[in-house]
Amino acid sequence: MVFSNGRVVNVVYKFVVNIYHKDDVRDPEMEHVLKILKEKLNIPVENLKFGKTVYLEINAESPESATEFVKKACENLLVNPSLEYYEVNEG
Amino acid sequence: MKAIVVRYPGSGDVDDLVLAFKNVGFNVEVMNFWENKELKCDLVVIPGGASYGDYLRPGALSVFDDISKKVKDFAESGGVVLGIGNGFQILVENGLLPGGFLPNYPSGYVCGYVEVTVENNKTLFTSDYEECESLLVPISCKFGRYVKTSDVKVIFRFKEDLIGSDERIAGVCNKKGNVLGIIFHPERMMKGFIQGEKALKIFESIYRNLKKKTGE
Repeated sequence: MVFSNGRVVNVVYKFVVNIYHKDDVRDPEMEHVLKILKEKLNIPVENLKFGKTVYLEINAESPESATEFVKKACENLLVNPSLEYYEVNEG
Repeated sequence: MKAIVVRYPGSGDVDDLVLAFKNVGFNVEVMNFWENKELKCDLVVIPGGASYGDYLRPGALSVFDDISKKVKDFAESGGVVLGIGNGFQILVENGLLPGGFLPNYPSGYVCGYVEVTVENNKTLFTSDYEECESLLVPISCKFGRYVKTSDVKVIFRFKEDLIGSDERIAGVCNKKGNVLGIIFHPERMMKGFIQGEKALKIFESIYRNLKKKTGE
């Protein structure tokens, strides 16, 4: 964060990253649960998706640079780009 | 002829691999992941197990070890690399082989024997096999479901769909033909009552072909 006197203070920004399988990667866990929800519990579920949630707190100068750090974390470690995609939300 | 077996934290089967490669004539060294040495050898082997406890994704955390970068350089300069089980996952996470891994389907840890067929015997890893030869090999994995993300050179295929891998893939090679990943464990047939000659031919093939290549 930049103050009017030009002083820069780092702030902790919170993020929630959701990681999902890409749509063309079969998810047997989801298929089984969907089947049970529909057939055993009679719940009219149209779509179901499982994913992983990662909570991140980033110490950065600005929201933009914090978002860049989150992207770097996702693209270099947290997400397998061959099989997964991710969404970043503010926490 | 020298082989280096790279031990990550959580690697297993190292002793069996050392025995398997010594048995066919290799001089074998075990290198721990923290050792900052050059890979001066003819073959690098990444063993199975659960490196870094399979945290995040199997093999994902190995990417940041210096030794992984050295293995990558070694493979990219034409060096021969074999990854077994978790070693296959490490090679995929390091970008040396295409694809990805997910939990087995049907879910759960699978341990036992499985029949695989040799899909391609024109590689330095499989030249001692007949084409379509089938062999019984040990398997032990929880995240063994291989997902194909591009065209791959399939070297081994499961005879039956056991863990849900795309096209029953059990082993793939890179385009150059110098990096092989297999999800089963032939090295576990080295000792005692579970000896299996057919499974061990993979080690003999590697030795014979590397010997021919280096002229030793």
